[in-house]
Amino acid sequence: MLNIEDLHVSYGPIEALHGISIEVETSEIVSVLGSNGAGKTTLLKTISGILNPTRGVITLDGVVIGGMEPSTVVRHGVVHVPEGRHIFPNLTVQDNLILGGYFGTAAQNSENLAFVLQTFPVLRERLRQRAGMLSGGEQQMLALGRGLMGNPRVLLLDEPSLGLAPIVTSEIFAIVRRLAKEHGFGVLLVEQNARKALDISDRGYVLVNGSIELSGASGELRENPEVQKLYLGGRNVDARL
Amino acid sequence: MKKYAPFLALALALLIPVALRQKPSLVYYLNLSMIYAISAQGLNLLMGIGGQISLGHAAFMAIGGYTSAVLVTVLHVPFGIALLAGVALSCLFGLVIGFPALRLQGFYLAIATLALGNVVTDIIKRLSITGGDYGLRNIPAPSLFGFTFASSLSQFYLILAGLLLTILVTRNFIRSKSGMALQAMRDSETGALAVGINASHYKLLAFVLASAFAGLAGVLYAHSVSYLNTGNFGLDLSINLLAITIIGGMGTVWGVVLGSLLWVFVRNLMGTSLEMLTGVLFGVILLLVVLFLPRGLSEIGYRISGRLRSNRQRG
Amino acid sequence: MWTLVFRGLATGSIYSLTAMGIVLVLSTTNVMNFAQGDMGMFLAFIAFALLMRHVSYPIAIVAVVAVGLLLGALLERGLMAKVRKTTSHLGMLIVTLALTMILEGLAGYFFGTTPLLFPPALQGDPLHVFGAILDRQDLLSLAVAGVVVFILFLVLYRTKIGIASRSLAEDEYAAKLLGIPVRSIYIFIWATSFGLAGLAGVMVAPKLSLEPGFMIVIQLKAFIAAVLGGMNSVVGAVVGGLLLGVMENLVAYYVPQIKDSFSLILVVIVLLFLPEGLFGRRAARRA
Repeated sequence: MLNIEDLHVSYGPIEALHGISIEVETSEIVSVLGSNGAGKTTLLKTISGILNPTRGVITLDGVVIGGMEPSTVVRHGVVHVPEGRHIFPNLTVQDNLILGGYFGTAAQNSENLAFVLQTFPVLRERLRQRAGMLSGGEQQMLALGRGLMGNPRVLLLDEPSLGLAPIVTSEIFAIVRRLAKEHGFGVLLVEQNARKALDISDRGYVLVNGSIELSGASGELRENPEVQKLYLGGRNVDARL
Repeated sequence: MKKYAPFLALALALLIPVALRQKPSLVYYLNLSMIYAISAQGLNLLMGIGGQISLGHAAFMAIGGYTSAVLVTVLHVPFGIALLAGVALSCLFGLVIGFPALRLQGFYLAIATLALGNVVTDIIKRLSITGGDYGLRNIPAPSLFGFTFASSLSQFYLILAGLLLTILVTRNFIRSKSGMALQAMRDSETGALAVGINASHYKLLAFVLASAFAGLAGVLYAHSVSYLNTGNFGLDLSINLLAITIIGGMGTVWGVVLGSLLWVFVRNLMGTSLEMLTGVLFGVILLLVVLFLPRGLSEIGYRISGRLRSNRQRG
Repeated sequence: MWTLVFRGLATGSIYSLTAMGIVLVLSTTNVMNFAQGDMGMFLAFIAFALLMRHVSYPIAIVAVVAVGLLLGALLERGLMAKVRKTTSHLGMLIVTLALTMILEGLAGYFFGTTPLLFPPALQGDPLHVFGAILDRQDLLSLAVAGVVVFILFLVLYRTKIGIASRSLAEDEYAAKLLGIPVRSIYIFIWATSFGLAGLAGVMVAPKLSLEPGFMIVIQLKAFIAAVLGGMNSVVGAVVGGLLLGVMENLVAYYVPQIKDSFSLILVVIVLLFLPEGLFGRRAARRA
């Protein structure tokens, strides 16, 4: 469904991604592991249209979306839930959700809203509160819910576990996995918490210095000695650009 | 060759009034241009070097001009002393206003200086000694050491001296420790703070210097135009001074001279029927400069001279 | 006393209209617009020209608001969108200063600099209500401002484009990721803002005299109102404007010596000691 082929991205003269190829299929959860500065966020920003690729093709079901405006990419069904959640703190929870469905028809949106509130019941109680008043976990749920309002076919999740208690992370990951399987959308998950990411994902890629070093089924990656050493054993290779 | 260029320019400048002695009105416009250049040089320090904006700069001209004019006309103080007093009072106001105002940044400094500038002209308007709404008329021509600069021609040299003084001070300030610190701060305030540069101290210094320049310009204006009215020192003039500085080119000492010449001559040579369109023309030039020439018109000069120089080296 | 308060509210409503335009633009597009007042001036001149050609008052007002909307949209499309890419926030402020030069110059060229008398929309003797004397034009200003504020809030809080505008003021990156068409929102914001400028200009022109610089004082007062209201809050701009109008009128009556400087000194004090204003939510000191 989502196909990325030979993607190159540069910040000015400095190339951050050197020819990356990634696929995400329907109902599939794919994780991208890597240390700080490996290029994970750059990858997501390029898919969602914030950054432009210098070379390479991004397609969704054969339709080219690489290099398009973010609003076009969203309309095609690729929704990016950014690192740090970026909810609108002074808007109500409801308004945050409404904006997630900016392009939807009224009927679609009310259906989606009902679905989101059913998935995250805690948001229903707080619909009229300012989003900034929510706890960290609730804010992540809001960010996810806002993303779901856009009828995603592929959800791009950037560090959803950031700053959350382990138990909350597990809860959110479980929901993501269930939704992907039940509703048939793909998830491209970028995570520093490699253990949790491999637990819920079907496949994974290891990104080092802007190139893919390893890829395979999550189970295989978990057993790989190099992955264990670098990402599961706690020793961190800081490969900043 | 480059070493002697300023002296050559100076010699040429000294000859201008002689060449134009049949056209005193042109000399008068040159004088006005130089006065605005002196004032704008202050803004250049503040904006180009310090990265701070002021929309109350004209008020400092008013302070200098009125102080000197009142001292000379009412109290019969000699011009030399009135000149120093005008500049000093302007400095003092700069200090008093600058101290709190410079805690603000960007937009907020713009609003605060705009408001304070209006307060100053309001106060001047309310005093009776300044002629209130009617302003001051028949302000005597400047005289120093027994010589009276009665004609535009003689005033030219006095004002030129003032301009050269401000250019020298600005040039030295740019190269001084404070100037370096300010430029570092303009580019990155947090970075400068990190290496221990005390922001407010240098900003205040720039603000006071800028006020001094405006004060000097105000004094020269009062005694060469011989008429003062607070209406001439409002937001209009402050914006025009800003435009002169930006159009000429911030951060260079000659840009403001270029900008002032352009402003005064375009404005006065357009003729009365088209006078209102000078504002439009200047607004458009300002827009174009902001869009395409962030370093102002003097940038073009530098590019041309740079090309000439490289051509010469090649040839 | 009530007469004073009422007059203050009427003047304040003009400040509010202008301040709302400034705050809308500043909070979403990060441009401190010094041309808001002069746009009102320019549109008031257009209204004047229409009225002189015997166009009826309501149509003149509608026409001028429409021209304001159009000019706002054109400005964003034609200029601000480009400027935003090449220059800093201070550069954009200077662009608005250039606009004031252009607008004042054009107005002076086409309409002259002699002050003109702008006919009031409502004539007739003032009304007496509970001992207060209410001028009809003042009543109209207040009513118009009231209706406009109501509609604007409805738009900002109940429509998608309004909510999207507010989201842009909070987090442009997130808004972009959601696919919100940022450029269209900018156009919407500038258009709305200049529509407000037209209304303010037409409402206040009969109370002052029509000349190229006549809105500068309103612009200044609107800034002060916006600062009082915290600079990024539309509610704050409305309340700040009304508050300033009332305070000014009371001060002018009881302490006439400081009436001109009162608001100017007030704004400096607020900026220094209460930089977030009465309604500001984030730090007001933005470079």
